[in-house]
Amino acid sequence: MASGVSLDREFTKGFVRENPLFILVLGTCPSLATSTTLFNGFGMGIAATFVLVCSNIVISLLRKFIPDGVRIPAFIVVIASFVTMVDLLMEGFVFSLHQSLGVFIPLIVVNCIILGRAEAFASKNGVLRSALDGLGMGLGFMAALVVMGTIREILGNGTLMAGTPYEFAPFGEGFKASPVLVMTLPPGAFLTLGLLMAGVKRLGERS
Amino acid sequence: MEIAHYLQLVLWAILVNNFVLAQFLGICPFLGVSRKIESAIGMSIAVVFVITAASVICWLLYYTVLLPFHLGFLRTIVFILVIAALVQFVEMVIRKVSPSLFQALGIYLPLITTNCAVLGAALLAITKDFNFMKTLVYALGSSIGFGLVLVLFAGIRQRLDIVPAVPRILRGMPIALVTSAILALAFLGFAGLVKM
Amino acid sequence: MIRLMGRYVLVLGAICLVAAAALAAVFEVTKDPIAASRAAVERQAIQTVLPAFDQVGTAPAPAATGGTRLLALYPAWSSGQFVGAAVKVVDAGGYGGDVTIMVGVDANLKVHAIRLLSHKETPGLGSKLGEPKFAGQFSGLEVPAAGLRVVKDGGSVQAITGATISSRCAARAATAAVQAVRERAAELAAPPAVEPGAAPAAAVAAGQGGAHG
Repeated sequence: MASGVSLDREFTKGFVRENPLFILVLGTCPSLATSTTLFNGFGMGIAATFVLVCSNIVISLLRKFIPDGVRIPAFIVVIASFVTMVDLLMEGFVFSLHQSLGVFIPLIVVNCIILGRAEAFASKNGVLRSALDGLGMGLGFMAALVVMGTIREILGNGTLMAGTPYEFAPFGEGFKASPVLVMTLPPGAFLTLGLLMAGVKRLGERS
Repeated sequence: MEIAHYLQLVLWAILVNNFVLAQFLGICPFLGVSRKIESAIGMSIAVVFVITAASVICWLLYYTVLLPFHLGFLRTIVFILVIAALVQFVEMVIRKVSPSLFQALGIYLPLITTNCAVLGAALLAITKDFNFMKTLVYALGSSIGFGLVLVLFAGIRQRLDIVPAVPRILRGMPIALVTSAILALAFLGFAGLVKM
Repeated sequence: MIRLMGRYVLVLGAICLVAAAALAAVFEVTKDPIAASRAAVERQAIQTVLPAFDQVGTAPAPAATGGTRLLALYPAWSSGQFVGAAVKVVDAGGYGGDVTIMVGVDANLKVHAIRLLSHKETPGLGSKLGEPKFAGQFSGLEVPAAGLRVVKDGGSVQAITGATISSRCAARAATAAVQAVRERAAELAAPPAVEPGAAPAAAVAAGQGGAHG
């Protein structure tokens, strides 16, 4: 299916055209839950991208050895292993980020994007293509999370880059003292994603 | 632990700390299977069963096998396999025992494996240090909460679909998410109702 | 059929084995950094609520009083002199449930500082427990015999507007912490006779049990 598509398109399709969050509506749980700040969204995006690239590579390598009947359980084991590795590594080396992402790190296992790419792409394509597909999809997912995190952090927390040494208040200290708090709460997450999706839809119709 | 405490836990899981609206677990089926009330009810029943059974089995496995052998770090991988196997098993049993029930629920069962609410419930019961009974009650309450919101939301969406006033650009997923935002806002009002 | 099943089992088994081995390796590598990060978080909390110290230990925490439980008690010494103790307190009476606070009690049994560790209070109201405007007023407070109370209950603590219930948690936690340290002031006065360098990290790590709820 993919032989006719050039490698760079394989890589860039996840950014906008097949953006996993805004267009395919996959991975909504972690995006809503972890996009409270830019840094959290970025952290989640990196973790998911790492898992996506690694699992795509391994599954593509193993695609000839795995019998069809046990395909899904085999994919799940591969994905769950990489997720656990990310979980352990993050707890060891970026502890505070690990604490704020909480249960959503192990839950990368059931992120539909990852199993979806394994099943629809990596199990049918070569290693290089699968790695590029994973990287592109992962970065597209990360970009979506960063956009959501930026909006929610500026409006809901009055800051940007909180959790890093570069934290600042884009609208000044006065706004930071009484921000639109609801944006960091669950309703704000749903609202942000809904409006962004409408915006992306509009852009798609124009072009 | 007396009955009142368990009742509080159930109320807390359903209303205060709702899986979908407060914890963002199970959003995919929440958005995907909420177009019709009938299918929402079918999905809810299947989810209540799978979440409760999976949490209890995972809890037992964690405390009788993984922890004694110092393999706690394998829990994610073990839990997801338990859930996948359980869903397969339930599918097989229902198909044999009641073909009519299978027809009603069958299409939802494979979707449940990748429903993060199932793995989420099993993992959260472990991180919260719940004992066996609490895990059972928590899983039951949470999954009922999931079902309640799913059915509520399906009711709203059925009407939304026939309202001409929705701007074209918002139709479908965007308006569904904005509606969820309002629903989540309403559920914020339950904060402080029960303490856990 | 049998051959097919055999192949399934073989392939899945092999994948599981490799996965488990890889995970065990990563687990071994990350075990120490994880323990160190956890200990560092606890130690940092202790440091922010106490005057400067060079040695910290653990003491058995007393039993619960009402809805307030003491999770851990860390006495601290500077050059062998008792400078105070950090007490980790959970109060179950918050608006959304448990509120965990680290309370520093100095050698004169006054509150040195408090720090909010975790809570489920309403964001924007009860969550202000951790802000300096509220938490700062506890520094240097003496706890009367009847315990600290918010102004509404006839005490001196200025409650957060709209979050009296959350504010009471902090008052109760500080009271319980000071009482606990007062009860055992005598036994905490002198540091345990161990080499000063080794004690802090080990003691803090040992007190980790209830840290992550």
